[in-house]
Amino acid sequence: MKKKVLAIILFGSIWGLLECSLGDYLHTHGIGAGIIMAGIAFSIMAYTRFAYDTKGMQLCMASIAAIMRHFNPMGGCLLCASISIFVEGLVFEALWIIPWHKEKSNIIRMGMGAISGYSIYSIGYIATQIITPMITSKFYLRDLISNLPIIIAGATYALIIGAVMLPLILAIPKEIKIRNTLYYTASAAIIALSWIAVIAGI
Amino acid sequence: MSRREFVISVIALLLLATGIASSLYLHSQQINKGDFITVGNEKIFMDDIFKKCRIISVEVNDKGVLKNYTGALLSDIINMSRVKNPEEHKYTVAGPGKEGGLYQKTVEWEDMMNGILTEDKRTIFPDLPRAFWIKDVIKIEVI
Repeated sequence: MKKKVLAIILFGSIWGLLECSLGDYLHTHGIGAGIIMAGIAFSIMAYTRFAYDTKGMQLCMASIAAIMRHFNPMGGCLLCASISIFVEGLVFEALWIIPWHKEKSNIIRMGMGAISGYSIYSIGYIATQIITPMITSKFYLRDLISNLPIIIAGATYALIIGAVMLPLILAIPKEIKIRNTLYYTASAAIIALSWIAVIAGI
Repeated sequence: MSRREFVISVIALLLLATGIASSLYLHSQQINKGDFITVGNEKIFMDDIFKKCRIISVEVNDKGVLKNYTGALLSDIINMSRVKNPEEHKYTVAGPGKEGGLYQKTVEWEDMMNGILTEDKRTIFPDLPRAFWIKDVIKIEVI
């Protein structure tokens, strides 16, 4: 149990750090930040579901990453990004109620990777298009409808990333032997570094 | 192929098909960029905008750094286009999306009174999140 809680904080913090650093970099340089970050988010969530086999864990990780993203002093449109991260966690939990990581068929692995990547990206994006205006201004359905083709077209790339990544992730050995003291120390150090980096705005 | 594999494959392929269809649709949309923007039914040239509208600077928090943006007041641009009772309308600002097609956001008159259009045709709304800032503005619809 202690290990799982630590893993939630660890992977949530790594995800949050990546969103604040790599996500910002990609966004600034116009390199498909949403698509790449959704692919990374899916990979982290799929791996941890596979390794720890615990429902709800990924939503907790997403909550940590969303909090980090929201309070990162360096990011642009913090609200959109943190809403998107949290919704990505929700979508993952909904899709992975069925333990897809236990499937041995590569067709199912690729198919579920594709469905997960597509859904995580598109629903996360749609959620920001609805919730951000509702909180800060006013939501107009016509804006969402007009922007839908852009969202769906982007989701195609997330689908491909998901289809490629899931079979690869599930091929990683599940049991990585590591001494408890090293596990706890290394985890604590990585968590601390991630939070310091985000708060310092690295 | 088992039934499960078949169902998952079909769903994945259907999603892929919607994605490809959306991409094709976006590529079919020709977006003409020029030195003007369309406001309602009027074509307004950038030169005119920067000659006739008030030019102001706004200070916004840009990734932790306070940054100044200078541009023409959006409410003045609307007034140039002779929209009647501008305060009674909403405004949909549209620019090219990353995948092609148009990305748009609708704002209130109050936002137009605070927002600016920069020389590189980017709208800045100091009181709204970045999702509302549109690059390479092509048109402003009056609704």
